[in-house]
Amino acid sequence: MKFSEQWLREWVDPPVSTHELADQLTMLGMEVEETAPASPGDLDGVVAGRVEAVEKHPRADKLIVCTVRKDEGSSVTVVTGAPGVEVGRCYPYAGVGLALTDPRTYRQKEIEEKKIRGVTSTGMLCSAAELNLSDEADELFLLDDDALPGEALSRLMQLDDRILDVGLTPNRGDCLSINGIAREVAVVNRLRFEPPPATPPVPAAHEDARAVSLAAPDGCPRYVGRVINNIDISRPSPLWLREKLRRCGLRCLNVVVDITNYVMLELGQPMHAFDNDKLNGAICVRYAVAGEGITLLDGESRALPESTLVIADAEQAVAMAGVMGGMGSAISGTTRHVFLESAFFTPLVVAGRARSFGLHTDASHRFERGVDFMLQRRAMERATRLILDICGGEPGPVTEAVAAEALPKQQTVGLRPAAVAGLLGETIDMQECLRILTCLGLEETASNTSSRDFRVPSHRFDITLEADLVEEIARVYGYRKIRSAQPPARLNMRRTGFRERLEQMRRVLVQRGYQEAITYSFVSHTLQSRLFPEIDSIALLNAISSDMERMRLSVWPGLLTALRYNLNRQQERVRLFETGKVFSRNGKIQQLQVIGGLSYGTVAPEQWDAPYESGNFYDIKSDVEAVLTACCGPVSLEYRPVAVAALHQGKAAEILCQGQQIGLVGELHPAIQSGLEIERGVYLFELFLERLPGRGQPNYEEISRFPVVKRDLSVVIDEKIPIADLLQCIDSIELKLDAPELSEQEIQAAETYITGKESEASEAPNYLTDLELIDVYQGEPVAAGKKSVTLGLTFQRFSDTLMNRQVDSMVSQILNSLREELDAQLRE
Amino acid sequence: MSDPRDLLERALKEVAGSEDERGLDEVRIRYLGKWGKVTERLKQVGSLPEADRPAAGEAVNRAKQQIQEAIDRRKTELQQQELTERLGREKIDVTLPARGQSAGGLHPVTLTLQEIERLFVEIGFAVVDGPEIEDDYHNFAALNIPEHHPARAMHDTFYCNADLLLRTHTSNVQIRYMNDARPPLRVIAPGRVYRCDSDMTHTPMFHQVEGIMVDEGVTFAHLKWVLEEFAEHIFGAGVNTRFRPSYFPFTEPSAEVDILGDNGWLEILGCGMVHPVVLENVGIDSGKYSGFAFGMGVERIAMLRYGITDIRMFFENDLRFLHQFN
Repeated sequence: MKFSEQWLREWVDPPVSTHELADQLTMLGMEVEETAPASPGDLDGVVAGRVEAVEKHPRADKLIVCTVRKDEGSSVTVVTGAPGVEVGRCYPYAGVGLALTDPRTYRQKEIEEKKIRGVTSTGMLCSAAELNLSDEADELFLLDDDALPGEALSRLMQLDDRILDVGLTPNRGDCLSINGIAREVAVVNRLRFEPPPATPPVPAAHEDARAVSLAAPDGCPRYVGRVINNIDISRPSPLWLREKLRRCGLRCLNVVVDITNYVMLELGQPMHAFDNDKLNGAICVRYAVAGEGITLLDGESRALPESTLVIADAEQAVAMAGVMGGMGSAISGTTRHVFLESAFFTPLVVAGRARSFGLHTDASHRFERGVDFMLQRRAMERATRLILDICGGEPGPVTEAVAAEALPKQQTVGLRPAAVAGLLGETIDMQECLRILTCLGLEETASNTSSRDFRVPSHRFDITLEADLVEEIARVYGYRKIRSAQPPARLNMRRTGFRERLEQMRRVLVQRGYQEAITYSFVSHTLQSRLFPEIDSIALLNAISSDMERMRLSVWPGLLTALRYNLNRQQERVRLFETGKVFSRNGKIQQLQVIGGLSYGTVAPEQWDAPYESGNFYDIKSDVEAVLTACCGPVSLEYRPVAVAALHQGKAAEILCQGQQIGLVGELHPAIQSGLEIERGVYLFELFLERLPGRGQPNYEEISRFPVVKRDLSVVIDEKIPIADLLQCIDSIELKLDAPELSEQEIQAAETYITGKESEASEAPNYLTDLELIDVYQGEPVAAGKKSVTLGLTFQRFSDTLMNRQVDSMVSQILNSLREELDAQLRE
Repeated sequence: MSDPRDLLERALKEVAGSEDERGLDEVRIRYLGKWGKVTERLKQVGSLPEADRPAAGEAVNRAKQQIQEAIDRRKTELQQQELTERLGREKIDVTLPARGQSAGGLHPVTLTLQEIERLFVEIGFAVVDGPEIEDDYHNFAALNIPEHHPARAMHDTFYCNADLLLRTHTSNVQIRYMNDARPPLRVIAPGRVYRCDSDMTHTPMFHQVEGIMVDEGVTFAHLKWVLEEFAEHIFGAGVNTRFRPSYFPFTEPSAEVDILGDNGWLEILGCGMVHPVVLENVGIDSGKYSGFAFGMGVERIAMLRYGITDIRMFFENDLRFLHQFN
């Protein structure tokens, strides 16, 4: 809320500078966001000028020639194009030689005497825009009729003022007025809060009144109305009033509306004025009926849902309660009789209402935060008095309809002396606590040694608990005076969790050249449905753009978008990964944590002494395995070819661990790749973190002290046989040790003795300790449709050195098994 | 038999003249080998008169020893020479860049988040996680933000349907965690949050860290200490902080914490004492326990730390931007 410092000081005037005042408000919880001078431009030298005569310009239809009295003794001729200039009125006059700031260019422009179509104009009469007071540029800025020609504008307008803009939190509706802010300023400056006395009731001059009925007391428990007849709507609002509204950020419309706005700013009570001639019969505050509509002051017609509270006359809705009045009954230039409204609408009935219509008005802003429910009559008398003083008229009696049972209840809240120190950790003198609460309008109603009770004033909607009282005390006492204290703590130990594992995975990817990305959790449906056409994604009802309309099913859409972003910026090698949640709807909503990556371009960055190779499936597979090892330790994984829309069907695998799918890896489908205008292959992976196995403790295994024997074995198999099957086949062979000199029992005994592990005695000893894939080759001289596979076999015993003859035998056993199972042939 | 001295002299000359190890070895064979000159001379000693033998033998042996020593010395010398030459030949340009994979890096938001987490974990806070698609109850109602509360206007919320929304803060985790756990509680909940807003200082998604500590006797003074300490560690010793009264429906009293920057105070986080209604909502006796809570925007802190002015940079994932934090 913007307000004038001068106006505030009419209510409370502490001996502090503007800067200190702003700091005080900020530290009370009303952050001063900006302090600006009442007049941004330098208006020194601009004076009041009275128009003594107006003539038409002899050679221009749109111009007039004014005789302007610019000081006590002299008049000048000024040519202007401004409409509505009246003889006898005073306007700001800027004489020749004066420099004003041009509102459009912010440049100083010196006023010169010049001939306008043959008439010499000496100086100029100014609009509000020309004075940089507002953007109203058409009409001249009107001064009060009693201004003296030659009187300095800065004095006339009391421009030695600052505009403070405070950011108010939604609980402080009571501070949306000078009255409310003044109360706070008084308490923090230890001043008594002495607001100007309430306007005494204005006696009725006639009996004209409108009956008011409250058909929806839950929404409107109090409605105060009054008819004022025969006002002079043509009177301009006086300068002091217009200036106060302007400095508080409100536009001036007409004298009656200006006055109701003034009362709202001063006391916090939004009011509405109807043209009484446009109303028919009694006023009823009710909910809208089915099919009802209204054209509001903004000119828009709106259908009213039945939950909308309206002010209606005998025929129709004439205002949306607490939000905006209707066009049909609005004050106009021809209004003679007005009906004033000063009502209390409950926060609940107004809250969210304006927003649902795309509206936000000064009234709705206040009502939804809570207006003092005892204020309506006082505001009515204040507005009546101002109207009578400024534009005359004859007031009718005040009509007040109240549904007392529906009015908010004034709460009583207890404060235990120990509670302040208990919550704040700072002991504040009880007398000071009492002073603060009393000055804020709380009334002590009862007290005993254990607790004091306070009645909450009707302007506060945010005090219901002891903690609320403590907060009031704390913020006035000053948060900065509360001394910080190191907290004692009861200690706990905790297990290594998910985050540590995630950390390790991140580290591995970083070491492998991946850059972490963070992409939005909502993605383009177009891209996502191309990648995952078979999965239902979750849509946002109010997405901000079509690029962000669906919750992501995978990190791939985001990473691909980031890839394209970087390719468009001349990056040639892109390795990105991301961790985060992905969302799907499978009956109920699933939110799974994943880590996913993308690799594009060469394996290593371009460098001076290394092969500059394009990455392929096996490179990203290596990254995936490194990640999995970091997270889960050595786990046995299975890669199974998989057909998913996102991936090249020949270069895609699902990763399984103990039979469960834990992720996907593969090359982006070439059709999608070219659709995205990406030049080369893109490799992708994604792992579902919740499905990854935990990392077990390693179990130490005995190391043999006998030498190993290595043999290479090349076999030729059908090209369609996956290498995994070949390795699996070898792994399942139970190798027999060809040792005629020892019986089987003796061998077992020896192994048991060496390993020292009874339990393993029953298992076949593992003589093949290592199996490496050395080469896979296709092409001449290997027959078409076949591939040659070279394996590196490492043999070792625990109990003895292996003999060549024994190793030969085991190689034969392997070869025989491969021949039987996979039709493998030894490659010659 | 001639004096071995001339033999010695010649041998030493040849040793000195040898230019490589092979040449030196030839010299050795020539003099000390099985058929070498010194060996020959030694054999001749036997043919000398009995009385001359010891002296002659000793002289030849001394010569032999001297030659052997000279050979050894020369050998070491030659080896040293050769090594020096080899090292010279093998000299490389050590200023050439390293090769192989170059490391990537973590996102600046992650780096900031890790630092925040580390600080709180060090004083005994556990890190907890919660859902990002959340229901109205956990995101709003349980946090004392009923429907139509004006505070909801501050959280421009994304909705999936009438009840499900994208969490607007990580405070939902507070509720979910406290529903199960009992005091003493010290947890932080980092994560993504969503609000429909987009400009230089707002993105529709950003990260928050919510923290909460509940126990007997927890006070606002404790909250101040923890967050002042936090600010000192995140922004550097001597940073000027202030606690400014504010309003959040789920804390009472509430505050915002500002730090003093070059151009005035900058808000870094919101905090307060957990509202008694929130404690009661999760079944914790607000008469016995009290607690504080705080919530901060991670991007905002990252922007202040790294001098980033446009929050949208974080989510463009421009490698030229990301590389700067490696």
